[in-house]
Amino acid sequence: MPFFSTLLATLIGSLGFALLFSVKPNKLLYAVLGGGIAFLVYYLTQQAGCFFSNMLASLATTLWCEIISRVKKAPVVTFLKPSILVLVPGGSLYYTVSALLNKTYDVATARLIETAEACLGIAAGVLLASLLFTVLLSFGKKAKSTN
Amino acid sequence: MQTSFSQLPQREAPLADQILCAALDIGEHILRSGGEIHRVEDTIERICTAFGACYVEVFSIPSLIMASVRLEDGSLSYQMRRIYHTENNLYLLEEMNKLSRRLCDGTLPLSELRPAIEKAKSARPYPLWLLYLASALGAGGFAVFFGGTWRDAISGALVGLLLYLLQRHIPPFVNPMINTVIRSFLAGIGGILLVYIGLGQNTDKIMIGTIMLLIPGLELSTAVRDMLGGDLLTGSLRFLQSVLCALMIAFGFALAIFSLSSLV
Repeated sequence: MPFFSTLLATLIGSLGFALLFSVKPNKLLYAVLGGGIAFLVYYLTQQAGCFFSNMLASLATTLWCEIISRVKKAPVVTFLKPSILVLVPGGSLYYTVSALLNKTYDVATARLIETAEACLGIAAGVLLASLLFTVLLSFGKKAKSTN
Repeated sequence: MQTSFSQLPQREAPLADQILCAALDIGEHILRSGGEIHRVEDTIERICTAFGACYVEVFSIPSLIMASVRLEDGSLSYQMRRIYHTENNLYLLEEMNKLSRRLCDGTLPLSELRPAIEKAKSARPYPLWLLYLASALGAGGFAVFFGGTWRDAISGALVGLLLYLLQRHIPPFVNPMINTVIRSFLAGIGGILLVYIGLGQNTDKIMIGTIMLLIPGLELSTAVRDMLGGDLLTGSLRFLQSVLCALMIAFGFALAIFSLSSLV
């Protein structure tokens, strides 16, 4: 896919959703940037397969959102929801259903597995990033208290 | 439904009831505006503890919060809140988070909570036309993201406008599943007609773009995350709900394709 037009489309799309989710005006930029990060990592790791590219992308996005939510003092979901939306497998879900309607069940199965893989990947990435962040934070606190 | 101190009879409510009611007010709004389950539970626990509770139990699923609290003088309170409708309102979520923080560090007295919540609820961060535009941008942007052309983007944006119009004007008593069917049916009709008159080029890309406005895809991955994180009940409820919703969208689109099959 043409890189720049897709990136632009991603940014516009996540801006739209950030507005629909009524993210505060002073936090819009960071939410949209999160969508951009999700797309960039996904695009760069596409060869790794559906699960891994989704996992890495959601890992990177969640790390960004955790950091920016600490800086901006807002709940993580404020940034996470509009940015992770970019990864949602809307396309494969649609093609699953349309294959079912055309009664091409082998295509439908393949697409369904792809959808499931993507969902699992996103969830795994978010969990991993939150875990990583909590562990890092607790180490940081320990280091501060011993100093 | 909603209870508040002001509606209670003149008799002053016991302190335990007041504290728990305030905590649940915040928790309820966090859940209704799209907060995570563990955030709801944490917040309620933290508020109650800050007001001197020595024992707090909270359990929450997406449609219900149950909590009990015991103060040091031995007085008990047990309350439930039923949640009927959730949406993504991250502005309200953030405001509730702030209120909870202010309650906990003592800068907001219990008596001023209710007006503060009402004020946060009535605030609209964006004007209506911008929300219509946002819906159009979302659908159009994702039509291109999934491989559509700029003409698909314009068609997607038009269908996005239609969807937001429907979202605002379908009356609330319509069953949410039927609501989804109606919206996806009309979105499907819109997409097919726009391709038929020659504005759009790929029906599937337009539909995928508009699907993003309807789809519970975010909920699907949240459900998996809940389950992996140990919230089995919440996870499976969300999972079931989003699968059902996806089926309803498919049903609506299938209806649209069948009824306009001569044009496809």
